[in-house]
Amino acid sequence: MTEPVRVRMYNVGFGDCFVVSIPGPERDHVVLVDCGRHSGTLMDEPPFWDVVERVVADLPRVDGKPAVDVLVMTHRHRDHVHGFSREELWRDVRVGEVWMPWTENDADPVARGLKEQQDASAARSFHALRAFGAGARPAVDIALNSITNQGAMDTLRGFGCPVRYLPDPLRPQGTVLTGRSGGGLGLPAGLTVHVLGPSRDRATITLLDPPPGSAYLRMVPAAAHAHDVAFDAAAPYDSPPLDVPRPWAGDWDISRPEYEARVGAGGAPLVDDDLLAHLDAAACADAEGLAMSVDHALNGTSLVLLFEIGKLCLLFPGDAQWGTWKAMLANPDWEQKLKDVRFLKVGHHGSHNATPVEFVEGYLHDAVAMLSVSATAYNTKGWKEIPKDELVEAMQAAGRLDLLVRSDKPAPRSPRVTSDPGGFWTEVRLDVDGGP
Amino acid sequence: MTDSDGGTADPGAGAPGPATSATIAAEVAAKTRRDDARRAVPAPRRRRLQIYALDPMRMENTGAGFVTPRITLSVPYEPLAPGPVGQRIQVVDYDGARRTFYEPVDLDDPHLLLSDGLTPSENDPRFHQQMVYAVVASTWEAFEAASGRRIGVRGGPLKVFPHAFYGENAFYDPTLKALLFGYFQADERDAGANLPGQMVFTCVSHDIITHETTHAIVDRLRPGFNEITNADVLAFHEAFADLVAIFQHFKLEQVLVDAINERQADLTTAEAISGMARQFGFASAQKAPLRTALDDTPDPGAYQRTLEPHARGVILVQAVFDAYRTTYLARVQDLLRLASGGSGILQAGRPHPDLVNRLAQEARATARLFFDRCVGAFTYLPPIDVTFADFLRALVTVDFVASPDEDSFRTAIIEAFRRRGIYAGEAGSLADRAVALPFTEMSALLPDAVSLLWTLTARARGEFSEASADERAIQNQVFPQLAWWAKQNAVELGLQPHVDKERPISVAAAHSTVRIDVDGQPQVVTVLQVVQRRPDLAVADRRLGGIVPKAGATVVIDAAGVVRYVISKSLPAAAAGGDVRLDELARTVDRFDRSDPRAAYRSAADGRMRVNFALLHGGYTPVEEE
Repeated sequence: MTEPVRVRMYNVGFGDCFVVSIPGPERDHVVLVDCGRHSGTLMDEPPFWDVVERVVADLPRVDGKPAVDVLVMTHRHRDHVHGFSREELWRDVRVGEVWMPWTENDADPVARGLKEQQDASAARSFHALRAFGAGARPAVDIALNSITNQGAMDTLRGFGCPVRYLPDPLRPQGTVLTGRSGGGLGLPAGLTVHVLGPSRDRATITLLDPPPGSAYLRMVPAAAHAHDVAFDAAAPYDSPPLDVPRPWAGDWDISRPEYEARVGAGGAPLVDDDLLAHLDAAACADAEGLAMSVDHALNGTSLVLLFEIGKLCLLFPGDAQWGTWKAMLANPDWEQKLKDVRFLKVGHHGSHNATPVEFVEGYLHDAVAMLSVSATAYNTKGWKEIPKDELVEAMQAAGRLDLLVRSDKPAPRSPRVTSDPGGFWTEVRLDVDGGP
Repeated sequence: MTDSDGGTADPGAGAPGPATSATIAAEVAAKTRRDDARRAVPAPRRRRLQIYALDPMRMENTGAGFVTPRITLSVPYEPLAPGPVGQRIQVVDYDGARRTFYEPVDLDDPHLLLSDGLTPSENDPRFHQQMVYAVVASTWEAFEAASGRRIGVRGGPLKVFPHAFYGENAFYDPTLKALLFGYFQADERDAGANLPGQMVFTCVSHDIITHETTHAIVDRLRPGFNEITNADVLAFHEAFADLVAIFQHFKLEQVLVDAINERQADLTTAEAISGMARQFGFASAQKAPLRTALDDTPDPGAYQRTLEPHARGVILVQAVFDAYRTTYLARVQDLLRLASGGSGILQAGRPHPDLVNRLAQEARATARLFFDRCVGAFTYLPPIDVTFADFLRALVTVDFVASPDEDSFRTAIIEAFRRRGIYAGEAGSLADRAVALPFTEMSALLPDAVSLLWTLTARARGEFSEASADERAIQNQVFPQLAWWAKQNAVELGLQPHVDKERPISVAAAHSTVRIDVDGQPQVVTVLQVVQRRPDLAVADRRLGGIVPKAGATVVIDAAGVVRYVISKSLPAAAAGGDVRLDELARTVDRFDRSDPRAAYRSAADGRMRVNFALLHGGYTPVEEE
């Protein structure tokens, strides 16, 4: 019997960080999928940078240095890449290949157009939302999540190894990567990777293109180009708010007491603090809509990978949305592969728009699923449906999941599950021979 | 006059004592009142206010150069505090983006009373306040005239924020009961006739103000339409608001005359008539008005395919406008023959001014008919879950009731809807009698409640005040009666029997109104909106993601207490699957789950499936095409 494959989920809060270890003749080969935490994670336990240090420390050594064979960035959201923004933590790491979705390829004009639109919309909504104060904080976090994350991207491109943008533009519907033998870094022998998304078809690209939010473009052109410095700073909420110029030549501004004196009237006051707070919230709905549209679009760029090792299929869908899933499920070549999936990384922290019911009902059986989510990401203010109870219930219906491991809950008791005593990670072992 | 300070302050009084002194004071007060009454002039009925005709972008070549046309609107008079703040409309100029208030206009200032308000200017926020007030008031009045009753007098004032935020958007917020208008800089590269980079104010666009006000009024007419329960709901909101804005164009005399001079008889092809929000469209580099009501080659398959709410709504707008055009052109055929020596084809160039006036008159009268029917249709719409087919049947029904013998309106409507693939599914025929809703003769036995409601309607006439104590007492008496009746008759209304907490029935709204029937007699019409919440189904049907489905019925009752129409939206007793409405609700929830960018972050309790006009107007509700 071949040694089992191990998938380790690091507890990054609201974010993703997975390490797949594939035993080889000389050493374990490692695929690292994402490393990030959302700024909306309210509790820093365990501290995020300690987790990132552990990820690096736990990597196998090649020539005495921590090594990653394939480093996958599923999409450019902060909750998937923020761990790379401190370059010094990764300086010693040797990487065989870095994989990213095709939408990150600056040499591809379509990708460049999309990225410019996404970056600009994220920056505009971020700037606009900050003007609305504390009430807009969850929305600011959503915008912040989508902002270029340039520091992390620089780290990812700076490992001195090849960077692949997937799927291959020449084989958009059937990129398959096969490992080669040998002790060097890179895709190991015995591992085949099918790239299922993101699609390059026109309909999918449309979904990746958020509304332009053009008014904000005209308001914050300078800021939209200077965001990188400010955004990775420690206190993004303290930055100065959007400076909207006076919309007319004359000075008609008056204070609230002056206004109330002008309106006079003995009746009930026209405005109170509550109304103004509501008004501020209502007025930022437009910018919030833009922020959420960019969030949705960037999730849609997720690289969807199906790993095949022996008889074992593992699916890492990133945070892919319905557009990508729809294309995947419609492809007859992938139907059997998707039915063979025995490990699922649950998309988008368990929100219901990242795992379609068609997949759960028609494909999922006898699988292990891992769900990375924080119990404290704005749960009291919104986001109550991440993860979505109905989805979790449906996945747990008889025959679909053998095991569900959630980072916000104690690990299930099973001989296949191991947990770090310090709470840094949980790991499952998966058999590659198809046996139990 | 000094005020009375008791008898001690009145040394001349022969017989001291507070009673006598009070009597004198009362006499003096009475005399003063008589004097005042002799001097007083009656309060004016109307207030005239200048506004831009449509919006500041529309330029007109007068021969002496280009000017921005302005017109004077006449709105109902009410005393106004600076703001303007009246009883029902309160303009509050607070800017959320800049966190400041702006100087409020005092329309009761004698100078402004004499000059029909401030002269239009983009640079003066006080003019913006004046224009937004005038257009909101004018739209509101049009709705009340068409529906024959006061709308939402008791629903609290409508707050209007003309410079609420920075952004290419404007919307009605049902929670705040407020209209929020944004402002933004026009596109730097391509701003149409706007100055590149100039500030564009949505609160001085006649179309945008009318559109948003309509959302606020629909919220008062049918609060149940705020829930997104099928693919038509959002589209209906948008379409109805656009239709009102377009039919309001016909009230603007100069716009009509210009359109006729430009396009001769068929003024409907003029952009100023059939286009929506022209300045906004150009300022956002769209190179066209935001939307157009004109469509010569309708695609009967588009309605099935199109799910994006604005695109779907445009189909309904174009259907109604198509019927308008047919009706108007039929009405002016005689005039055109008279003016052309019998051919019906006018000579090139500007028509004779007399003809222009007559054509304008017909255009206005036809627009008034269409507006009245569109508003009147609300009587026959269900309280929840509206569809285009419901609107079609309601339009035909209201026309049948108002004009049983003259069928040109309803045949034009049925044909225009048919050309766009919109049918009254259950009617089974295109005949107007089949499309009209069926008549019932269910005895209601509600004469007391009906007459109490009528008392409320009669008292609300002409008032802008809060409900008085006895009116509240009537309301407290009448609503429990109506709810009791609805529970007793649940099955006849197409509902399931009432069960507290699981299947509760309530009366969401009730009003009565009077109209003159075709035989010249007054006809009192009472309309109830009965709603049944179904938390039991929300638990049983997991597809709904926690959204509580509702059944409901609009009940139309005559003066004798006889139920004439029941317009039901039913739900099954249990979630067995295969129910048309539940399946459509499940599909709609699913579509939003998949494509609404907010879906991941919002629960049912957070209003995930409630109408949010901010996101709708901002274009952030991408619903994928099927």
